[in-house]
Amino acid sequence: MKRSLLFLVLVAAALAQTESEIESDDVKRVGTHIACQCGACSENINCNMSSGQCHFCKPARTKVYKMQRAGMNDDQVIASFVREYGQAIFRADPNSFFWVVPYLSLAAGGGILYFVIKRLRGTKGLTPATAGPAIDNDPVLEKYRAQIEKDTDRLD
Amino acid sequence: MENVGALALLLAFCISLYAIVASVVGRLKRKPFLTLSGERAVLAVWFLVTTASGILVYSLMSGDYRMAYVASHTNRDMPPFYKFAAWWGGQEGSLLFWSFLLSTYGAVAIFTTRRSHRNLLPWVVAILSAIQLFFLTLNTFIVSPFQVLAVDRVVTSVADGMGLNPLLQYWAMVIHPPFLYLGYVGFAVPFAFAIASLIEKVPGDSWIHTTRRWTLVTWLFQSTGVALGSAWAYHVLGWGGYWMWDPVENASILPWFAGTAFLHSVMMQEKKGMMKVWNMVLVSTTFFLCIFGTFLTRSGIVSSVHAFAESPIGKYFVSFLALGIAAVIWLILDRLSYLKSEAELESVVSRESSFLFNNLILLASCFAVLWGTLFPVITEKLSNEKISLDAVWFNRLMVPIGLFLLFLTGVGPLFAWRRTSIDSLRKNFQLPGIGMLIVAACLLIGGMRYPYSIISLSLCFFVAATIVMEFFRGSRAISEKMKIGFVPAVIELTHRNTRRYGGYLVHMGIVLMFIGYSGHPFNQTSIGEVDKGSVMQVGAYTLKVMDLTEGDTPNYQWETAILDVSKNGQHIDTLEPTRRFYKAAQQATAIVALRSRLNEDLYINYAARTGNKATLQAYVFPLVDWIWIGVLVLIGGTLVALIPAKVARSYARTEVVGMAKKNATPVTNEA
Repeated sequence: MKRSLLFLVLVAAALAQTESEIESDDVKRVGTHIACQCGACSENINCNMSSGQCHFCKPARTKVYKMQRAGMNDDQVIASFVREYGQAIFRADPNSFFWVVPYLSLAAGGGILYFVIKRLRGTKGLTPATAGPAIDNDPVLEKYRAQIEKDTDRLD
Repeated sequence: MENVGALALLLAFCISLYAIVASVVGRLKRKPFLTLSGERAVLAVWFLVTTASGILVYSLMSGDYRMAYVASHTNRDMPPFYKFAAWWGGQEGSLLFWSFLLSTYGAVAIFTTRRSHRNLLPWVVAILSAIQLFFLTLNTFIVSPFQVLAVDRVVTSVADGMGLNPLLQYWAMVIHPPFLYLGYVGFAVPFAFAIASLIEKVPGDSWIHTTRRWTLVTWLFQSTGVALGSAWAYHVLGWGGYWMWDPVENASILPWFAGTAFLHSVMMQEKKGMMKVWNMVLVSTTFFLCIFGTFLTRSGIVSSVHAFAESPIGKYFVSFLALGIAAVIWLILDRLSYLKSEAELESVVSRESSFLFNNLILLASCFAVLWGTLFPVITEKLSNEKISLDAVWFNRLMVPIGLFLLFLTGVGPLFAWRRTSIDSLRKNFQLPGIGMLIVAACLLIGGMRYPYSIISLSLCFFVAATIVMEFFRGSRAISEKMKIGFVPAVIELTHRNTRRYGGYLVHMGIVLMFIGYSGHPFNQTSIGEVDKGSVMQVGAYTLKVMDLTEGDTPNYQWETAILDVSKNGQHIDTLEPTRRFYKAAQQATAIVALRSRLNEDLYINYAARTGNKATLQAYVFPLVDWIWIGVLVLIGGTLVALIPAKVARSYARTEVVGMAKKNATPVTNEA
């Protein structure tokens, strides 16, 4: 009897999940794809609201941990939740549009900027500042430029 | 009382409508008495909205539980401080708060410019009143804060209210919304002046000079509001996140990006007469993003930890935005010829170009955040699939953009106006550049392996070095010339050009914030259930649970874990993380225990208690303090930039040689 009790205690201890285990990266990786079903939010089960003690999220993370311990891979764990709660519980990763659009718009912005600079430069090309020795050597222009520099510097 | 409040709002609605008509007709028909009565109408609206607000606040403070808003957002045992904050704690009250701030801003703007801008004022009145009319429509007809509880048409009351959301019962959250609102609403004034100037085709940039301080003050409020929200999230939500890319957080940062771009871009118009169209677009974008942010948080279109519930006001916001944007686009296109640039860009390597790049990156950041915020909504509409888009995804998208922006923060101010020579580049960038590489090498040799942290800290050094060099060179020159000490020379230098050196201080604040962000990959976490008398470890800290106590107040019950904190076997502190359970709302919140130092924060959340076991979530967050220090420096820098410069200047705008002189604006004012 004592042996049986001791065995049960050991098994229970081995199966008990500590807080840090259900907060592991492995659990959270799967957790991002499972929506909280508490009814008050639309976060995933990694949500930290209620200090991570949400009545749905914490048991759900524990369940994920147990399934992982039982050898199930991420897809199988998610499929199990979908079977139990329906497709609405699943949260997919964003597709490539999420990445492409902002960087594409940045590139487009760069293109527009190129034309803006070109237009603001008037008839001159987009040559670096040091190009054009003829202008730099013109003493009259240099005099103007020094005056302009003085004025604009004070304006900062 | 509630009837008087509702009547005040209805009257304010009617008078706002009158202000629009009187101002527009008065201006078009050249009837000064009509335009003047339009201005007076704005003051009347302020009086009426203030009366309505006063009645709501009185009802909240006195606990008039016949009113639905009071019953939903306060309860008897709430401290008066939070009862007052309930004014902006709910949908209806927050919209009234919008109206109150807008009417106050409008009254102040009209009073202070009543003599200097007679031609613009009718349009300013009309535009501000149109915005006011929109919010008063919501407050009067759609979501009135003065609704009473009734059963079978008989007014009734409840014994006690539901209380303010416990998460909002925190000092930073009390002042965070007003600051953010002051920022949101404040941009209406520069917008109104810009559009008025466009309508009137006023030559020159008087609207910019008139609204420069408005814009800066408004930007300061926005920055402070965003930072307070961040501090609230860090201290209250219990897991130490200071920015989670939540849709409501994003709504607050969107106009900040656009407003920051405008603050930079507007300098090109002031100094060179360039980018006039762009500045119109930016000031309008900033304003509409403020409205859009309000729409995001109130329409229920996106889900968020702190968005208001889904409500019927979304369609009104969409209509207002659509109308406003269409009108502004038409105006700009119709007056394109008036917005022609007065100067050419002389060189790609110049301050002007750096502003253009700065604008590109700031707007790209704005768009990326907007895209990320709306992406789940768009995906669900198009493919009926819900996606998970948390902070990790946003960070992947935004960190590279942020680092490039940090780089520009260092590089931009060192370019000269018009053109920068290779010699100048070498002089300005050689030392900081070498220092940056040395810092990167040291970090790598020291074992750091997070590329973003290495890049960020190296860039922080680079930008800080360029700023310090600017102060050092200028102060040394003044010190030698005026024969004064170095510190007085720094003050003299800053006072001579507060705008420039205040701007540098703001940039330094951004650098310090990035130092704080760089610590993020080194966070350490330990979560466990700990018996009384037992210990847990997080980083170099050992936490021993000395006692678990509990108590009761009229507003909430509390439980506290008393923890002995030691490091390397030495007792260094005693921390007391607490949990509160608010009775009215039936909701628990955390009061985290924080041991804050410049190198790292020890952050402990008492998550739950089971018998004699405490569930503790302990974290070590390196460098977080630098974020708050950076915010303070940013605020200080902005305040410096608001101080009038010691040397008042009046001079002709610099023309680029060869450009049409007739376009030059004769005078700019610095003070």
